[in-house]
Amino acid sequence: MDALKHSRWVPVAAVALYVAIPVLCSIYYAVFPGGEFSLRAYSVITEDASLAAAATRTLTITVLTVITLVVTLVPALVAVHLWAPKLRPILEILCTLPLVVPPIAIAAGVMALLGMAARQGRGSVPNAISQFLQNPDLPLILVGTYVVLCLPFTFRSIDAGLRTIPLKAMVEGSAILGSSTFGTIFRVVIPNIRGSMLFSVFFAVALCFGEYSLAATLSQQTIPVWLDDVSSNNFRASVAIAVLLNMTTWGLLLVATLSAGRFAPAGRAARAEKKLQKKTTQKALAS
Amino acid sequence: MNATTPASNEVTLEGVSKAFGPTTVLQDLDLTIGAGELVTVLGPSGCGKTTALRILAGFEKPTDGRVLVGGRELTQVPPNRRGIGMVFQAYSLFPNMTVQDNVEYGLRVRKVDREKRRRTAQDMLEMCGLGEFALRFPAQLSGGQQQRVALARALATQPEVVLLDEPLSALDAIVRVQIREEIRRLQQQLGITTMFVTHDQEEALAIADRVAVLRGGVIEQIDVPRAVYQNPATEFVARFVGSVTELGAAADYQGGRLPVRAPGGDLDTLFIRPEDLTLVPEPDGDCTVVSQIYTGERTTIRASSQERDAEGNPLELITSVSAAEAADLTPGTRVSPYVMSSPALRVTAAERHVAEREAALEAGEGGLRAAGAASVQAGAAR
Amino acid sequence: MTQAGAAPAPTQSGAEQGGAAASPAQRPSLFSRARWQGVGSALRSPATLSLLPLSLVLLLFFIVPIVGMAIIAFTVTAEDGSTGVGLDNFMALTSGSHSAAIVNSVQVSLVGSTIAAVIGTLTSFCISQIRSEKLDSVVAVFTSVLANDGGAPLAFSFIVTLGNAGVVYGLLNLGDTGFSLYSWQGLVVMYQYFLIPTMIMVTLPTFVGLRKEWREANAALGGSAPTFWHRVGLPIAMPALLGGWILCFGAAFATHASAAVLIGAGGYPLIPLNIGALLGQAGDSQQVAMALGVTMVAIAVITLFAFNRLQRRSARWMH
Repeated sequence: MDALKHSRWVPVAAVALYVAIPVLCSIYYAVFPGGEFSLRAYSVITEDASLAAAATRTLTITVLTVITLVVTLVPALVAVHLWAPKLRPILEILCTLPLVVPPIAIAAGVMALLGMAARQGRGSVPNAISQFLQNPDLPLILVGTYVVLCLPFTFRSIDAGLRTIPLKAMVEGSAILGSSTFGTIFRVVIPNIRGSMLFSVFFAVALCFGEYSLAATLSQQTIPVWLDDVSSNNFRASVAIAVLLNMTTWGLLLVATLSAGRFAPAGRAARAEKKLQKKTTQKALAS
Repeated sequence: MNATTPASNEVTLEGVSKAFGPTTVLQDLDLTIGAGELVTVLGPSGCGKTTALRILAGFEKPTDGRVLVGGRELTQVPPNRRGIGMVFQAYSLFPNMTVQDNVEYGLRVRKVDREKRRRTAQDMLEMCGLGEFALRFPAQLSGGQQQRVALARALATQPEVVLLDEPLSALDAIVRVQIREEIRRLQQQLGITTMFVTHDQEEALAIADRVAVLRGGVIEQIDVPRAVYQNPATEFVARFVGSVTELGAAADYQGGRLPVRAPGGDLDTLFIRPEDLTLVPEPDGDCTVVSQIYTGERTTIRASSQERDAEGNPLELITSVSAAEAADLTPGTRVSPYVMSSPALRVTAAERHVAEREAALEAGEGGLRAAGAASVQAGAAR
Repeated sequence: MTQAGAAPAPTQSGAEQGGAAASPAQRPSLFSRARWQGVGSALRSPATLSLLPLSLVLLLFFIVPIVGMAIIAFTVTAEDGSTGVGLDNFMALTSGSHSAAIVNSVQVSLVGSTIAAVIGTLTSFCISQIRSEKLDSVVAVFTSVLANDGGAPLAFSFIVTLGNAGVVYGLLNLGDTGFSLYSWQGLVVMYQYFLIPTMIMVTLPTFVGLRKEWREANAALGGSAPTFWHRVGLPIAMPALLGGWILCFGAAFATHASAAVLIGAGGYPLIPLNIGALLGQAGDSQQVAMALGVTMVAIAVITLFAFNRLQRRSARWMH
């Protein structure tokens, strides 16, 4: 009986080991060159200007992506839930489709379009747009496509968040109390979907930090692309930076997942309930 | 059905105790359900009633004591070899099977041939009024229909003992009454020994041959429904079953007009059922009518007095009258209580003092059960 | 409101139309207030205003590129420079590196997803049997993080671990077994890193959601544990298992970044790698890349469609 109970842990432990070993090996390789602890590999941070440039580019893209994502998705979803529930399935399909289309295919499509625009010739409007979108200092094309790549996950999260709150009743109740629709959305609705919004933000950041296919295809040197480029002549440095990047994205995704649960109304209610129970049992024990 | 079944299929829990870690849920419980009898086990949540049923079903092993069905000891027999039918609170139907397949399940496990299986299932479904739903999936049925299927499934193997674990608690009021009547009809028709666990006192009284009132893992009273209501054995039963007015009375009080006083001190406590209490309009009455609730046949009258109980709440009196009588008892009317027949329960001052001391002693032991008991009696104690 | 709202619309459109040299006289209705009033107020309704930005992003960065890709893929340029519709670009996929890429992609995805499905199912079954809510939620969080893992860091960590100079490669003497990270075996092993978590993520809720009442009802009706799994447990879990398997196939199929970093160009043809390589070249190769992209989308759409069907089937049972 006991043996059976313990045997349940075997596959769990095996998978955990499989997940842990590559991470540990990477860390070992990065900071134990030749068996001795050294942070020499990380000197690339200060020595290689291209890394700083890639990091700046990545951060710029990230900030713009997060802002664009929130500003476009949240109003659209609130509007659909509030005024046009019939449009919801259409929006859902549109927002989920990027999940079906592999990023490399989106890259192909974007390349096709930019190529077409560029062929219009120097000085033409499409060519100018194409150049503008691919500006290496501010590759807006990546911002747009990253927002699209985030949509399937963030749509679901915010949609689920809105579904758990009585949106219509909130807006109507708030209107009876004299608040405007937009005031209500800011004061009542947004705070109630805070968890889903935080998830979306962290998810978007993690995606922007890790995305390779589109950036590489469009020849924009973000950190992941830099890693690949540098790996051929300074592999240890790229592994060292990859460890950092990986830890960051995992941390972000962890925060994303946790915040989705933590700030959801149900989660909050559960925690309040637990607190209450603790208090009452303490009271009972005390009396 | 079972090869070992003797003539009688009486069910007995003998000295059964159950503890989960430090928490004692059942204490030395003795309960016998006669062959073909329906016993409801009634109690508040956490009183151990579900644990008792699960021990009988075999899902929990008792810490101490024995389980007997028809004289055969089943304490160590796993649930799937006990041959006991069971209906759960809700959601117990297999969602991947049609109603028909659900009902056939027990027979399929027993390797009954296909033709016979089909026929029995059809009969069971007809009997439960579900003939036309045979090919639907559980998710396509209402809660009441699902519970009927669960009942049909439990009965299909023709068990001699059926356990029902709050089978109606997830249903709405009207359906609840319908199905409980059906359960009673089938149980009597088939002569099945039945244990029915519930926290709804009206349901418990309505359906049972006998009612067992359970509190803190101990049976407070087990008797026919009428006796449990009219002659509750303890204060707890008096309060838990039906509504009751609690008033203090002098030791020599024998009926008639009752001066309104809170229980306590050297007064006896009277537990008076609404039908034993009459409120008579009198200009100098001790109480004032607070509300009238019209329920059709009867009208419930609540009155309260200036007197306060140990917790500082005004004493509340409750009675029920006919519509004609209610006309004289509009809210605001001053009334005096008269106890016309003997109260359901009279606890003398001496008895109360003993109970309080015991409660205090138990509370000192620090057990969870004791804490629960203390909080229930706290009102009387202070 | 309607006055102010309708007023700017005609002037604006008038300016645009004028630029495009359209004669206002031919379309007098264009300037009539009645025609633009409806459109103007609809455009200013909060619903439209809120939906507009997202629609624009989706249109510009998703729909137009995909449609453009499809158009190019089905466009054939004749020798005289004229263009028409045809399947020539797809014909180019039937031979050489591209046909190998399609076969390889399907093979790696099929093997990878099957292994992940088996291991993932077993693991999530065991996790559900441990019956700890804490473990369940920890697993839920970690699997959703790992399921999104990939890219250059993943490839690097496997190179360091199982590459020819890798730590574990040396420890276990994998060189003697003929294993190479830079082959389809290596890809399968690396893909497990996000496929197994994906599988656990999809199946764990189903295993945990198998109600205690079903088990107990089975026992009360005389069934044993194997009976339960045969008749109730597995049939209920099956849609989720198949769904998870298909999702894993789709994920493996679409993977580009980690494979590209691990294998580079030309080492082992896969559809995404070939698309990447073709996009870097000039000329006709672009059109072939688009055809490969369309093929990829088609396979992905079929996969997700199947996933959806299976999910819906289990949803019907589970509520």
